[in-house]
Amino acid sequence: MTRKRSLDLMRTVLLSALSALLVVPLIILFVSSLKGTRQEILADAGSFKAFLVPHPTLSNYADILGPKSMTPFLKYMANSALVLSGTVVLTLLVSSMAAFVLLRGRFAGRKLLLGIITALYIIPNETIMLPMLYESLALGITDTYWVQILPFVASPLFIFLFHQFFSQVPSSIGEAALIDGAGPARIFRMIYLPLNGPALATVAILQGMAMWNQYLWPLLSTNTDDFRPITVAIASFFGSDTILWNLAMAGSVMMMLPILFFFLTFQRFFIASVSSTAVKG
Amino acid sequence: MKTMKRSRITLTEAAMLTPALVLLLAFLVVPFAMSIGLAFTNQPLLPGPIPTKFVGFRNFQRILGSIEFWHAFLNVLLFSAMVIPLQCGFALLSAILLNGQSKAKRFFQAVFFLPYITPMVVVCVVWSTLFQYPSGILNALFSALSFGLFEPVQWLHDPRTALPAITMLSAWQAYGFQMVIYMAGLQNISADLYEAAAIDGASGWSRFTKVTWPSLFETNVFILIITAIQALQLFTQVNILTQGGPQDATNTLVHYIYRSGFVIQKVGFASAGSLILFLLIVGVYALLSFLTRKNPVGENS
Amino acid sequence: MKKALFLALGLAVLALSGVPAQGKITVMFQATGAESDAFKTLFDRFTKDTGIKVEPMFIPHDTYFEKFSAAVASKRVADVMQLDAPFLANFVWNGYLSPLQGMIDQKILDDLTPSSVYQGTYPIDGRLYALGNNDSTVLLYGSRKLLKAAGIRIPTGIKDAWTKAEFNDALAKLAKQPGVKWPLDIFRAYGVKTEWATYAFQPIFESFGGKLIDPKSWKAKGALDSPESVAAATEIQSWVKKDWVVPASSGTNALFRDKDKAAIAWGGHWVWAEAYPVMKDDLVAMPLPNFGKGVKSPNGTWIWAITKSSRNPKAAAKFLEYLAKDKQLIKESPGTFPGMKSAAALTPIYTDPKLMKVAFDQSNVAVPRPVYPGYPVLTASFQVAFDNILSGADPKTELGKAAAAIDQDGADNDGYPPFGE
Repeated sequence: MTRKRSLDLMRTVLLSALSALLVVPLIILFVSSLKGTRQEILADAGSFKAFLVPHPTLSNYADILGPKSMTPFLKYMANSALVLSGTVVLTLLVSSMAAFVLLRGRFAGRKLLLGIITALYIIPNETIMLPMLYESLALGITDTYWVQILPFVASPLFIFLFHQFFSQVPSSIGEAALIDGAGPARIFRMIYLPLNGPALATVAILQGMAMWNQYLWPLLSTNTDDFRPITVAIASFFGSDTILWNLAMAGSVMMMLPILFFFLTFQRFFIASVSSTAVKG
Repeated sequence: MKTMKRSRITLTEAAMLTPALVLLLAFLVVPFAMSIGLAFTNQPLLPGPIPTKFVGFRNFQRILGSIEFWHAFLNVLLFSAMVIPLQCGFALLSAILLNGQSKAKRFFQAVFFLPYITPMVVVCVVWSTLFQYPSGILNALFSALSFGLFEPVQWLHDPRTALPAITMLSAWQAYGFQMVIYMAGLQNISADLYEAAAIDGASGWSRFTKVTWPSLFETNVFILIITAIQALQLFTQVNILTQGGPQDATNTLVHYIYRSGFVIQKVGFASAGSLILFLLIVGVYALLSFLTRKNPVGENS
Repeated sequence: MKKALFLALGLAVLALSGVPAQGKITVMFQATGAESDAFKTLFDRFTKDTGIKVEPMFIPHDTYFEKFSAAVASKRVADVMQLDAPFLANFVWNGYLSPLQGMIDQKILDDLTPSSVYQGTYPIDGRLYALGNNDSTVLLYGSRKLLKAAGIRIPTGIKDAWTKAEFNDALAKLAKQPGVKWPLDIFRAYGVKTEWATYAFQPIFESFGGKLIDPKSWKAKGALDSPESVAAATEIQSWVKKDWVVPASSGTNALFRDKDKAAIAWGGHWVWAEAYPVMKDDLVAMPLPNFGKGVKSPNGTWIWAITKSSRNPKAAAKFLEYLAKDKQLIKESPGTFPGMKSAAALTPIYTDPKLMKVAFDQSNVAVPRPVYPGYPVLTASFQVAFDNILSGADPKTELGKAAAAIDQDGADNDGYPPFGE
């Protein structure tokens, strides 16, 4: 075997072994979702029976999606999907533009501004939830999709991330374009964006994840089923002293599927853009 | 050739920057300012007969004088020291192993990303069964691997092991975040650099130290700072699994604030805590930024 | 002609839409799984029978107070709201609830068990502010076989409940019994800082003659750290120290699982529904022990109230009456602990002496958690102290610290007038 082939084989073996270890908790999750009652799940919990299901059933899934359920699961999923899409699209646009200007703009105070914006990332979410709510009430946007989208579009995290990735594009390219008469918007659109497919994919995935898992804010800012997200449905399975394990497991599996699909969609953008070789020299 | 710096911003630049600034102002700065205002009052969670009044620095004094607060601060520092190497190290390893677009690689990428997709509530619930005493899977595994030398441990309820247990769980759940960023970062390393290294006869480990690691500088700075900030804000897992116990071993700053605001219902007090937390993290952030600054000559420090 | 018709139609529509929603109420509540499904059908039945529409505001249990606070801030408080019984004083003192006398049929109010009445009454004016058609209790569960094998007498009712000595003796015997890993499960696995601690163990303090807070001066110092209270805490700590108690990392089904079993469980009435299918007739329900001052048991559940800001209090009251009289709700959740005397007949397990009658009898000796506006701080401080004590800390010190925190909160609120006056 060639050196490369044996390295590849080793790599595959290693990856398989790691994968097996990593997904142990998820196997338990999936297997539990097929167990009909929560007593069954609890009884198997502390041992290796957690991996086995003697009588698999889809009853939990049926119960959650059924009409008798208090929380309209699919509607909530649709709401989450809508909010996710809106936020991701706007975030990609707004945050990348801002990062670009902060990096390659030519006005004084850019570094300071970037520093301040990054420092804003430190503000813990829980702190500002109630003031944000009062503000949203004043603006009249509660109980809408917008109230769930807007607060997260300009994200210090992603502005900072774009900044770091954009800074790896040498300024010489942009300056060459400038000499040719291109304005900053053009340089951004024609040069920086295409060169940063991976960064865009990263932000899309991470922001998507963050929005899919939003819980406290949508709960506070919306009141009706029309706008509530999927996380509320999952939370409804966790009571004061009893957890409806079977429904919680099945609900979680269903909640994970769309986002997995989302990830798979953006995977293909993790390729180096062809022109990165044009960067050198 | 460096272009001249101007002090005024152009219209286009302003147009590209404004949406972000407006939103940041509206949804971060303004609420935070309101919260700072509340920090000097005795505002309760539910408005009631006692009028909200200005109490000066009383909230701050109580917080800074409370052992619970400082213990929580120590805990998050400890947690950060443990989780950053574990989580980021594993994320980098994964990103390197998974670098590529082959079908096999893409399959494994998706598998490796699964933990991050799992909602934290569910992660906690499932891991709590792994942590069971005395015959939970983790105890059984360690016992088997050590041929019976290992005594089962009450992972989440022994003050010595609770924080490490939370660390393991957190690293497992969240390494996907850093992994994805590293994957993008690796993509930006030009193939030419690797060719040049190969020509020089480098292979394996020295490829990593001479090409990969230095090229990841900006990415690493980002990951270090962001992971540190996230680690210092540890909350959800603790809230679900240990509520700060046992005996404050897993109490965190955000948990302390959350309990003050939403359980003990003192919003003013919680706001003061948030402000202190903010300043503490800004301190850490400034320190990290300073330590990772690039040398003016352009070489990595 | 057509124009006139359209005009008339238009005016009619306008007129009808201007009629106030006389038949509409919002109901804020929390529930889990089957319970929430049962509520959904309840709402539908209510609308069918009375014509009043219900707009449900469902809120997951863990964020109930945050959401209520948000509702207050947005001035969208519901007409009917659920609340956890011990927080009643807090809500009434803050001015959110309306008294029920005069709004609800007196026959219904008379049907409430003494425990239910206790929970819903505000001590300052003695009026009822909330009611519930269900309640709760905590009792001892055991395995008949194991108890017999260890030679332990099984109490049949409150009158012959175990004394402190008998209880300790039973635990010591069970610890040596084969097949028993821990004699006692006090459900530490529910969590370190949850309402369970205050809920399930406050009655022990009372049974020792102690109290969490003085009901006249509303000071915790002198009550929570009194010798009797410290004795209660020390007693509970001794069980943990002797390794008799199921650890927190060992799950909540120790009573009826296959390995690492517990012989006796100190659990809520809801444990019955989990344990009975597995243990069947081997399961026995027993009263809590009498530690000196009699058997005392916990009570309290989520009860229903009408908000002061409700614009439709008459419809809200109708809903509460309907809820109280509704038999189907109880039938749909068979493990529910009745809060009304007439409901007991519908829940056969609570009238059968071989099953859970003992549990229902305990509602006659139920002691509510302190009805005090400062309850949120009280319970939070107690939970921390309790957990530290179970972990081995000195009871007197911990209870003293908790008492100081509670009294500090009282001082911060000027004593919650008129309570502290």
